[in-house]
Amino acid sequence: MPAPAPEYVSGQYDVQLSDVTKVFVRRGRKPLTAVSSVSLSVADGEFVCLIGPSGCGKSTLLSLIAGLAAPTSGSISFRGAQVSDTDPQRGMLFQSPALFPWLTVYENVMFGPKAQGKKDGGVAERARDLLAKVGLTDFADAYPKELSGGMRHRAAFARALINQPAVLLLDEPFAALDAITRMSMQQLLLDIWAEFSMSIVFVTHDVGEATLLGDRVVLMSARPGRIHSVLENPIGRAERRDVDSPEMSALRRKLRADLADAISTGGQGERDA
Amino acid sequence: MLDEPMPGTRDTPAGPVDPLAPTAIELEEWVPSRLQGSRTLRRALGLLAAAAIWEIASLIINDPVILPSIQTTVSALIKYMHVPYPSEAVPLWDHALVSLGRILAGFVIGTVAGVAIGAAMASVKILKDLIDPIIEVTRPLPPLAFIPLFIVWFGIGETSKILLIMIGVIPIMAVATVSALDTVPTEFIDAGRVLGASRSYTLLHVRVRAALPGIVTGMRIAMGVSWTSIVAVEMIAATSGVGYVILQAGSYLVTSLVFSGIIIISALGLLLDSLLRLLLRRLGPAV
Repeated sequence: MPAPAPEYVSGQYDVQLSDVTKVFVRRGRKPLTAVSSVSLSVADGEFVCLIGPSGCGKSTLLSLIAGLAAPTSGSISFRGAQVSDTDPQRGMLFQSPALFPWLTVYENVMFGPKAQGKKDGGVAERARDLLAKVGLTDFADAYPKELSGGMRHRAAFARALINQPAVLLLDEPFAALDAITRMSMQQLLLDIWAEFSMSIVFVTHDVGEATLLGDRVVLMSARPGRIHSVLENPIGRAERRDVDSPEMSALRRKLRADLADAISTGGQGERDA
Repeated sequence: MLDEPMPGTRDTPAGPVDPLAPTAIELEEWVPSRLQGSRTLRRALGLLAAAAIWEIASLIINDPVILPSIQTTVSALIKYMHVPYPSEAVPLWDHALVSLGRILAGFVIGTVAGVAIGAAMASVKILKDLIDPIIEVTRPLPPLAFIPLFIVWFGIGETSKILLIMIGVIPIMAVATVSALDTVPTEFIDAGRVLGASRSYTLLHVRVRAALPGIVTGMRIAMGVSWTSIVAVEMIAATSGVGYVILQAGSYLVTSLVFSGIIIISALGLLLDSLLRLLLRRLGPAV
């Protein structure tokens, strides 16, 4: 079960954010600063978890990295180049699987290559391989509505992975799943991470999830959303999987304390946008 | 309300439960197995019952001017399929084709225009603010209110009939298109973009594609309105069409022909709606 950790070359960054601020201008209301002067670097092959109270701008940060929105000030670069648009090299999974209901599972997986006009023979084969990897071979021709919640998330994984992304951004993808399904999805994510040597930025509000998955846990405070503190996970990737070990319990306790501090220091006057 | 505690709910307080009383679960299993048969069969039975009531009522009334029997109606329907009615005009079959032609012309032009207006409204905020009140004001108006106006403006030719259908279809299609495009989840569009699709590819293959079932559903509603409009205008200002036949036959107390006309409208309406339903099914699941 414990997969070998992907090669991690220090000093080599996939994603770099420097002094990123995002302000939403709202009609008839005060502008909302969702993210304020955030600087963060994600190393090649690193697993970074973003955790924080709701409204701390975690999801906004993720969509900025994805290129779905542009920062108000500051800069975001991906492998040295300025991020100005979305890029299949930066895959993203959302809170809902967001599978297209009118396409079968296989057609959903093939959406990316088709949209990019990639029709080489290898793609179809790769789609089949990915579906096998996520355990959906028998459901390739099923429509999303015929799948269970966990299966839909697995299909969404396959759909994102077909582009062979260098960075995978995940926005609380397992929040709506039951505990058992969530555990198997976390396992799947770790296996995929090990095999595909990607960097991962994972947004969560679950302390257990953050300590299990993250090499680094970035704690954010709300209103405006900024980095409160960064916790290097001292526990090795293989050892983390023993979530009931005293070390993991202590780590969770520490993160919870930090989180409580982040919540109390964040301004709470403003309503959620 | 159920007097006994619902079996199967865990927080039911423990109490005396009659072991012979049917439980909700048993009932659920019992009812369908009794009546399952086939849905088609049950639906056919409903139609047969209505026909039986018609037949019995016509026997009791015994006056074909007030209520002709089914046989009288069917024989009138068959007869006038080749015999012109009124005598100087064309047979029923041609009247049906005339009405169908008007419907299709008005419906197709109206749908195209309505979808275009709706798409423009969904993409340009200013256009939405400008057009929305116009639609809100005109939508509650029955298209029939425009008949005298169109006759004054365009005479009793085909133009006023097709325009009348369009005036009913356009607002329905514009509203259906805007709401279908606006309710496409943002995550679908974002998912398309992060998967490597360009903005235009995402617009066409995600947003528009996701909106299609809603648009076709709007077309089904618009089709119903088209029939109302065309029959009404044919009764007022026409010398052909099923609506005209129904009115003429009514004036001359040929009630069986009135019923024949109604049956033709019903059959054509059903045919066109089932074509749209087929299209909807071809589009695949919407959720």
